Amino acid sequence: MSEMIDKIECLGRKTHETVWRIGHFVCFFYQSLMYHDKKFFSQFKYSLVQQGTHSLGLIVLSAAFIGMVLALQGYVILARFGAEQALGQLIAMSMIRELGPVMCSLFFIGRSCSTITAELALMRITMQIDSLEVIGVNPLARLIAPRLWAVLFVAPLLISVFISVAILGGSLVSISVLGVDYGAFWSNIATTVHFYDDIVKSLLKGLIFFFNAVAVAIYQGYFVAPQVEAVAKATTRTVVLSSALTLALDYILTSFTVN
Amino acid sequence: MTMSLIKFEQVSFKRSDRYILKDISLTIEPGVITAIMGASGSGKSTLLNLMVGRLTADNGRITLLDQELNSRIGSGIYQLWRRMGFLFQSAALFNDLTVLENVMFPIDEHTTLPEIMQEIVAIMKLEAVGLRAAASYYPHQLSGGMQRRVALARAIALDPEIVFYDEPFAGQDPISMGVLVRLIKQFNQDLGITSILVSHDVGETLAIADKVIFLHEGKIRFDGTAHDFVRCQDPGVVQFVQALADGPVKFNMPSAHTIGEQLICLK
Repeated sequence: MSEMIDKIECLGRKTHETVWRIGHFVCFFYQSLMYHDKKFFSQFKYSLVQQGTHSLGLIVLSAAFIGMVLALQGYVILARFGAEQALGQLIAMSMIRELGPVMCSLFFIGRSCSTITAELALMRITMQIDSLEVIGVNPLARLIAPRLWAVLFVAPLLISVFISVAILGGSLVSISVLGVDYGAFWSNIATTVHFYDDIVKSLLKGLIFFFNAVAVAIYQGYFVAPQVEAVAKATTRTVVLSSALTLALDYILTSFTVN
Repeated sequence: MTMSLIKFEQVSFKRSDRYILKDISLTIEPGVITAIMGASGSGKSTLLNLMVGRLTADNGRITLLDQELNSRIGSGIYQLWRRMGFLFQSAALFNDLTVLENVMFPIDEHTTLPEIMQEIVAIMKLEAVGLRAAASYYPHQLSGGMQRRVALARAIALDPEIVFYDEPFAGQDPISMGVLVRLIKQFNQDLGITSILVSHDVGETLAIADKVIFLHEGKIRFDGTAHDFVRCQDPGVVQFVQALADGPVKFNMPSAHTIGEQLICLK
């Protein structure tokens, strides 16, 4: 009987802790978005470079190869039904609707979010965040708000670049290597892709993934435990947690979009 | 009536259900070097964090620079912090800024001085701590003692009313320690800065402190002059000053079981 009570007590404690953490997470980001200080724009520019420019190389390289591989794999399947000319449509739709936002945010998590977590965690452990506070600078306004606002600008740009490069990579292999007709490839894309239903929804979905990833990265870094191995743990947790959340959110958002 | 910069009235602070500090009442007068001393875990750093408003008391009333510190103060605390300096145990310099930029940082944040004036003020502060020559260095190029002196220059950059020192002598070689002792005393005498230092280095601290507050198990066991502190007959103070292994702070951590019971459990 007492074992049962212990289990119920443990469950209650865990639930309380989880609810508290979610509430704390939401309040923290709500407060952060409300603050800005006189150095906002210099920090905002720094965040744009940190999140955008630093991820760009990886995004372009991986998008090109994903597009090219998709062309090769898609061609094999479509050729069975004599529908090779629809290869452009296949590449564009899969990139815009699904692979673009998801893959791009996964690469972004690996490249930029891990950096954000490590940077903030090191600042916390070396007491630089405490230093800011006692100098009279609000760390939420100086460190958090610019990073959150920057991702809102970076996300649509990176996703657009990712999708465009992937389609270009796919077109290169389809037209030059596999012999798909140039006109058929591009006209199929033009007729099937819709601006609002496909492109706008894709960018919105990506924006949610990116914002969620940066929020997790900031939270893990800012509230890191003062321990030796804490930075490594926080960085790993950022990558694992935000990747898992991206995939879960993708399912939820896709199910709404499809319905 | 004595004017006070900091006043504690029946202040208590607890974590979970355990009191870290209980019923603390004290006053800090302006222009005085006050040392907060006590063994590890006695609540010194907690007391310091309560003084600067980085922690909120569970009970009692804390007044800092005529402003009551409570949960309603919100972002107003940043206005208060602009009037103080804080020296952390780890120096806590900004790694991506040079020594000069570190010292200029608070000046740039809180004044409208042109950059050249900010540099002049920062160089003067670095001169005061003897590190003008290191202005272009990055923190990682300096020794631990030098980093702490740069942090001290940054702490006094805006000519604060109070400077808080958290374990300033911890991990320092005798020369660096001597330099820090001299600087703290010099800033107190020349600039009239009120200094509050948390430390357990008895010799160095008592050499410069005017007043000592001694904590033991979350309570004040001594509050008086440094002169009286070394003559105090309280067993806790005697154990601390004479560095005795056993006394009110036990050598053996209290346990619910005897050693025999514990060994049987292991078996």
